[in-house]
Amino acid sequence: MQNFKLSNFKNYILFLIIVISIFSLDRISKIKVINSQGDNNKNFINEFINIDLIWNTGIGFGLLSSGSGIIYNSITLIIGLVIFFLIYLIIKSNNIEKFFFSLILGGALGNFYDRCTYFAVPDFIDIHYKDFHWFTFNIADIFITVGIVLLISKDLIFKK
Amino acid sequence: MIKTVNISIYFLLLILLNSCGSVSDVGKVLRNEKTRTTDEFFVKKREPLSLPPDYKTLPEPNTQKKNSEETIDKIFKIPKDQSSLKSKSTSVEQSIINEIRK
Repeated sequence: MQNFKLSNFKNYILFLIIVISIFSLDRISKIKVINSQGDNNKNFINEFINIDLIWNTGIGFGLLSSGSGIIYNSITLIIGLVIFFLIYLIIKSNNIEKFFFSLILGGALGNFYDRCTYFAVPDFIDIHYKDFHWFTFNIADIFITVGIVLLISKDLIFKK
Repeated sequence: MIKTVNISIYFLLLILLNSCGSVSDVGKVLRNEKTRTTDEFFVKKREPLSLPPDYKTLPEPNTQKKNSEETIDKIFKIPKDQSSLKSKSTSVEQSIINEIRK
C-alpha cells in the first residue's frame, strides 16, 4: 500500500515536471519574440516559416476575437474552469493519459498566463507555402494539439 | 457512443485551449485594424515651430550695423581715430549740404 502511494507520488512529481517544463519553454519563447519584435515586424526564417507576432484575444483559429471585455473575461473564466477540469482528469486517469493531459495542461497554463497578464495571447509561428498561410500559433498550441491528437489516437486505436 | 462523446470533448478542448490566431494579414483586415504601409500619397505634416539651437548666440537687433563697420575697419586696417575722423568729415559734408540747401 505504501509502495503504491510512493510510486503514485513519484508519478505526480514527474507529470508536474513535464507541466512546468512546457510552461517554461512556452514563456521563454514568448518573451524572446516579444522583446525582439515589439513593433510587429515580420522576421523571415526560411521559405516556409516566418516569425510574425500577432495578439489573439479569442480562442482557437481566431474565433471569438472581439474588443468586448465581457466576451474576453467570459472566455478566460471558462478556460480557467477547463484547466481545473484537466487537473481533475490527470488525477483520475491512468499513466499514459496522465502524460497526454500533462502536455495539454502545460500548454493551456502558458496561454492562460498570457490571457491574465497581457489580456491577449501572443502567436508568432507563421507556417506558409507561397501565399497560403496556416493559422499563426505558438509553442503552447503545439503541445496542446499534440496532447489532444495523441488522446484521440489512443481512443481510436485501443478499445478500452 | 462514449468514444464519440470523448472525441467531441477533445475537439472542444482543442478549440478552447488553443490560441492560434487567424492568418495575420487576413485577421487584421477582418478586425478592421490599421496596417502600416508605405503610402505614396502621404503628405508630411508641418512640424511645430521651435527656436533654433544656437538662438542665444545670435546677435541682438541693431547691433549688426556697428559690428559690420568694425569689421570693415578691421579689414582695411583703419585705426579707430581715423574712422572717427571719417565720421567727422561726413558730418562736415552734411553741414555744407545743409548750408547750400538754405
